[in-house]
Amino acid sequence: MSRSKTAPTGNRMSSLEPFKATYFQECEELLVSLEAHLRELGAAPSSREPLDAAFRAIHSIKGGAAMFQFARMVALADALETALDRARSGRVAISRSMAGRLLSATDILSDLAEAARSGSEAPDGHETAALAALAALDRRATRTTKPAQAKRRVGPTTSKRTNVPSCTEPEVARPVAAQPATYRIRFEPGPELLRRGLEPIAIVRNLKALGKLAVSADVSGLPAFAELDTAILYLRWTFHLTTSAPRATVAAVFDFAATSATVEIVELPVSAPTSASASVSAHSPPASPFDPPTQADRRTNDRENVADRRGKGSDRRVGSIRVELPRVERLVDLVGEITIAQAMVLQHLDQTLVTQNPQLFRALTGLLKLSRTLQDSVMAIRAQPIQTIFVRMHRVARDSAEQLGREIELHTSGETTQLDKTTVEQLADPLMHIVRNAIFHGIECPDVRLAAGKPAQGTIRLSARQRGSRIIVEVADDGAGIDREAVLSRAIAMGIVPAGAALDDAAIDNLIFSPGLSTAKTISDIAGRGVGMDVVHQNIRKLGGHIQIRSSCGIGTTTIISLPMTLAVLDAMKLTCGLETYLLPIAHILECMVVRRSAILNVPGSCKVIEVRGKQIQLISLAQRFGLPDPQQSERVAIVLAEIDDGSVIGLVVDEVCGHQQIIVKSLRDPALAAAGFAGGTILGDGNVALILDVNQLVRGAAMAAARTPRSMRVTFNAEFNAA
Amino acid sequence: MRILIVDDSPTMQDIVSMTLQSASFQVFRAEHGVEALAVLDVASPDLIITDLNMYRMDGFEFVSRVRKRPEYEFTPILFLTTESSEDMRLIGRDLGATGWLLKPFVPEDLIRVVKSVLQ
Repeated sequence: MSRSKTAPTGNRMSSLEPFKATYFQECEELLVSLEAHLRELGAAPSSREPLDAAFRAIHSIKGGAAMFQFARMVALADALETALDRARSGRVAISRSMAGRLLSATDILSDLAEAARSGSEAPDGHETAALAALAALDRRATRTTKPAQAKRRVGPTTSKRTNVPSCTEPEVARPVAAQPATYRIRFEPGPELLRRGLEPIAIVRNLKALGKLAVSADVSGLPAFAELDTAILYLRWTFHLTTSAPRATVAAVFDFAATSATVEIVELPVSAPTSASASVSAHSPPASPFDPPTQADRRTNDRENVADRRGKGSDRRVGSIRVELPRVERLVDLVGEITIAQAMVLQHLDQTLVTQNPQLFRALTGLLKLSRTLQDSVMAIRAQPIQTIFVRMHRVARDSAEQLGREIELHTSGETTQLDKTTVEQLADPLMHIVRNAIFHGIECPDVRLAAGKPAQGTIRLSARQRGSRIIVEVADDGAGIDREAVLSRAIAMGIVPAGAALDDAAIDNLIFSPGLSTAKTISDIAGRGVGMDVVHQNIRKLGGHIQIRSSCGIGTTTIISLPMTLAVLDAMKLTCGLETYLLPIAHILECMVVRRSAILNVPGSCKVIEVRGKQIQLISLAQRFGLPDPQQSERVAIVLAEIDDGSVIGLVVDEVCGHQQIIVKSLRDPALAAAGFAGGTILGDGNVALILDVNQLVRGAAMAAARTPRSMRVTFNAEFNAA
Repeated sequence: MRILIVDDSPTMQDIVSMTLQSASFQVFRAEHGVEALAVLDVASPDLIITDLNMYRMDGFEFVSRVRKRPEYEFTPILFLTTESSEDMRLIGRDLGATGWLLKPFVPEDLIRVVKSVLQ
């Protein structure tokens, strides 16, 4: 052979190295899609679309993995593909349990992909069980759906394709030709060969690659020059080829020419079957584009299957391009800068100039609108559906439930809710903790549940929805609820709460976010180390989010996470209090009002409230809360009604509401500031720095302050807790 | 020389197109048969390399449609697929494909094959 079959592995890998990142990203997306479609299939086993989509996903995963020589991924992907292919051809019916096995195998495949990505190696035998389970499916399929065929399969010599109406001659057994043989090949192409894009010279070259070649051309068919049509082939050839390649390999060279040519291959030294047809092998080495497959033919493909493959899929995907994240981040930064620059321009612009010049006014309004649209569009680039992590939670639930012997069903809704890509990524870990926690602490053992009159199977509902410029993610279980007595006594024992403190139910529930608090009786991999919820709390806060928990005994627990939709630009209202300026994200604001100071009521021993349309609303005075020097006691104050994450309403007492501004959020280095009730800082149009209020934290601070003092002498907004 | 690549895997698109670009071919990309047909006249390719299993329109459907258009009757078309089954390959051939390449492939081999087809 005059050429090597494959380039050295090292070369191939290094030349493919730059594409790995693309592959892993694609692979991750494909795994998510695969899992989603398999789950869909589990719910509706006879539906065609998810089956086709799942098949395509695994097919692409395998193709890429093979390209990069991730052998273990290829093997597992191949087993999955084979199983799905059988289902597609109707040889095996998808069942819920089969979908389950496929899902488990997909989990393992994710692990292998993750290992490949990080350059490590998954534990030996990690995929063994999955492969065995898939192989078992395979056997069952053969047994249950093709009994006749199984019986017919008498010996190893029987063709794999007995039941397949093949469009070629049956496969022939070919001993590997160790000894060189000489073939005489007559090649009489039809006139239309060139029209089909086939070049005889390529065939000659490919034959030459197989061994020693002698060529003679028959030019007798050539017409007179004037009648020559360049699109018609007038030549015929006779080749003498001496090669040690198997006959089938030689025949394969003519494979694609065979429909428009007569090919006769005769083996000269030994008597050989003189079939003129180009029968091909599934095992010949690669030699040309006209080559037969090089991989072992692992599965049979019948006509039905072919028809399926040719059927059109129905994915609704739009065209997309891939951009490195830093480029997008640069855009986001620039948009932030524009926002500041714009605020500065507005700040220094003479208002009368603008109002007296309608054209300038219009131009300015147009500019502001465009810059806002630009912001939204840039942020939308980073937006990602939360589905990518919701899908992962199914596995978390499955694994944890299995480990603990619970029965769990996980329902998800609002998967298409979009969040900033970074947020989505950072949310995965906390969400995983919460789901595990719900299973470990929330959902009871099946017998306990039955005794309590609940279904044996516990339910966890995972949902996401948009509220204003925030995204609310909820994890709700139908378990036992928080054991408040245990939590409180543990918290007292640990000194988190002073003994004898009077805490309301919500305050006790939220104690589980305290560092080190765990009521688990045993420590397991899943929960009980007491670090979980504390870390979850911190991680969510880092994302500019809030977390709270609501529980009712015997009915279940709901964890609510609220996250900002984007991390960069925010619409806020400017509030002043004395000499200080604060910003409150507009998404929280329900209403602004100016009231007489006398309208504020003091509830004895508790707090200040105001009555708005017959409803009492608790007030927080920013001046008192932040210990600002008491301003001149003006007769009127401004009150901003803000909605917090649990849906309740709080009133903030300020001096004045000064209007709307777009701000870019800069995070705060000092954790004390966050604890005091600030979500971040920003630079105002005049160049000054202002703090952004975090209403949820303000309320929590107030509640904590209230909780830490005995009920009889509760003092809200106690200065001592301001810094806490 | 202009080459149209049809593959729904971005990784494959990248690998194939960068490989061919490194050999100074001009490359056009499409994600599936429908898109490929849409860009066919713009790309006006000297060679088409297509995947088989794609969503919306697979390689077989695509090739048969290309061959129905008189201006692309002679354009060489190579399948580049993981599909190694002989039946598939023969269907491809009967639909008018010029050759059948298997994934995974060695980039250098792809260049060699493409050059030989285009010569």
